Amino acid sequence: MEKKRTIARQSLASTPRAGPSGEGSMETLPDDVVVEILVRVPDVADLFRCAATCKRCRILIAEPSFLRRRWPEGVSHLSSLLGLFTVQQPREEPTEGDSTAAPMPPFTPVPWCSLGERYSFLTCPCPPDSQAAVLTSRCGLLVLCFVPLNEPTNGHEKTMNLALYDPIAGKGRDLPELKSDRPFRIEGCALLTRADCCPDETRGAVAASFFKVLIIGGDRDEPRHNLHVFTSTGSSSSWSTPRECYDSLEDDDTRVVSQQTTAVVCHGGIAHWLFKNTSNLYVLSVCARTTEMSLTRLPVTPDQTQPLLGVTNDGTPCLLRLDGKCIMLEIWTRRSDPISGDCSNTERWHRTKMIELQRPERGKIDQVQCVCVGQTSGILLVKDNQEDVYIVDLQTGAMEAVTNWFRGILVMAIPFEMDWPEFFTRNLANTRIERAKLGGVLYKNCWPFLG
Amino acid sequence: MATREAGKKMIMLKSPDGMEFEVEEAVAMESQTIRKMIEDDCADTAILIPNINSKILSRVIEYCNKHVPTTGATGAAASDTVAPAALAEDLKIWDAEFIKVNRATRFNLIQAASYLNIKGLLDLTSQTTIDTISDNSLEEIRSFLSTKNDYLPEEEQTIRRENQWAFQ
Repeated sequence: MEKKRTIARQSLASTPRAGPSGEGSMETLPDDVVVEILVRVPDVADLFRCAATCKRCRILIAEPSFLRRRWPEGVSHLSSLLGLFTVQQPREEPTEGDSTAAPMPPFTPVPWCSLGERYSFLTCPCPPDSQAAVLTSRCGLLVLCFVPLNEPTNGHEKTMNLALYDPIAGKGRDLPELKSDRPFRIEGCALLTRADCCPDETRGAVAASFFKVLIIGGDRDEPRHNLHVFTSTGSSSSWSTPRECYDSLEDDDTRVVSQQTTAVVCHGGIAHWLFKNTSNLYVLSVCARTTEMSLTRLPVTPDQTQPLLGVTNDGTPCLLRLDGKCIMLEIWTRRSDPISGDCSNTERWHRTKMIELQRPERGKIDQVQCVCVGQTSGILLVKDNQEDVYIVDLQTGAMEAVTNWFRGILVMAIPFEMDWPEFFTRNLANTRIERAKLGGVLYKNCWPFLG
Repeated sequence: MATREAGKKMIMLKSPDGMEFEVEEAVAMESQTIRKMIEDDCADTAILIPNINSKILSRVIEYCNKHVPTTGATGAAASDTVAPAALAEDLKIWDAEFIKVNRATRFNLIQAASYLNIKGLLDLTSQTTIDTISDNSLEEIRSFLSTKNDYLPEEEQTIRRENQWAFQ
């Protein structure tokens, strides 16, 4: 009995005591008390500024345990969604055929975006006479494709110019040209980090420069898709020889097309894309580590609502499907996540959840389509036949009209989401800083592979 | 429960500067640290609260007195006549008054709330500190948090340059 009290007393006695001059200063508070304060800072930019006040705050905030407490695992964090890279059409017909008169802003920030005014319209670098299209976004980084203007190729090219871009740091890096002997169109893209490819290895300075970009190219003339893998290890980087994604499909030979360019990357480093043909939906899965592929037919038939792939909070892929009247949201999940290389695991997919949607009071919502899904923010963007846009909270089914976020008619959107724990780690403690080492140079803040 | 039948059980809390505070057990048990001691039968006599001076300890007890769930004779009467929402509103106003203290006292209260594990008080005191942070410049945050800038000028420049989004 007495022992317990002594322990309690000792732990308090070991904390710094306020001296006469230091009274009322944060320096006199023990670490765990400072953490209690910092963990309650709601705004991300405020928290980042706190880290810049002194080295002690920086160390405490960069601590993995702190970041996990601030952003617990296994739940969605709305704050991770900063905005959307969109393709929009003008609401009114352009006059005198001048379609370039009022270009739509490529980036639409969400109202709670922590980037502030200055980053409201993130711009992407672009060579002359071409246009940058965002293929995918992950951890605050983008994979861009530069499409030549005024060339009616319908997106089919033999050479693709791609780049990796960090819009917050304003830094980018061109990838080597992706060449093919046949014209193709990019139908899928995934950015994979070292953590996806080698989950067991600890990160170091060299390891951080490692990444992969996966491109799924749809052949213009033949009903087939090829996988192109770009691997950068820091010292060397190159595109792999393309490989066919699947053999001919036994039950239906109509052309398969991708439903979403951006891959859903799940725990264990597996990238997934949704494909469909006239009679079936398929999930194409590529393992980040081995780049092994598999195509799984889903036990769901395609319909007008355009289902999308998402990821559940525990990191498994899921299919989100709405009914046309937008009353119920169905969530289908896969039980386990093996790569088996054939279509035989269709039976692993089950409808696991039905969420009743809380539609806004006024207005008629009809013929809804899914537009995109935020993988860490847990939101689904949908639009109806009136071109009104709504966000759906995947946990509660709450719907909110957000048409006024966009100036034009929303055609396509890619969520720009930030993995904040990863971002803080990357920017505050690239290599883990120990107290004893402080006073030296600060560690390089940007990802090494952005050069 | 045994305590209620025997009237109100009292607990003696002692501050390191020698002051003694006799409080109801229910009030003291607002602190999870003290609750644990009582439940483990470590609190048969007086409990010494190290490192929290009598001035701060008396404020903490004041807070716990106000926030103890209203059971027992007076509490039951109060909850019969006052709606829970009004009660919560009343508490909020009381909290706002309670926390009008200088920074030194507030930091001492944070430390006491953390050690004694009183969630409500920790939330209140930490939140008040944070409210002074939001949307302020780095220098203002430093002054509110009362931390000393130990970055070299060039180090701070690097952080600002590479993270302009947070320093607009």
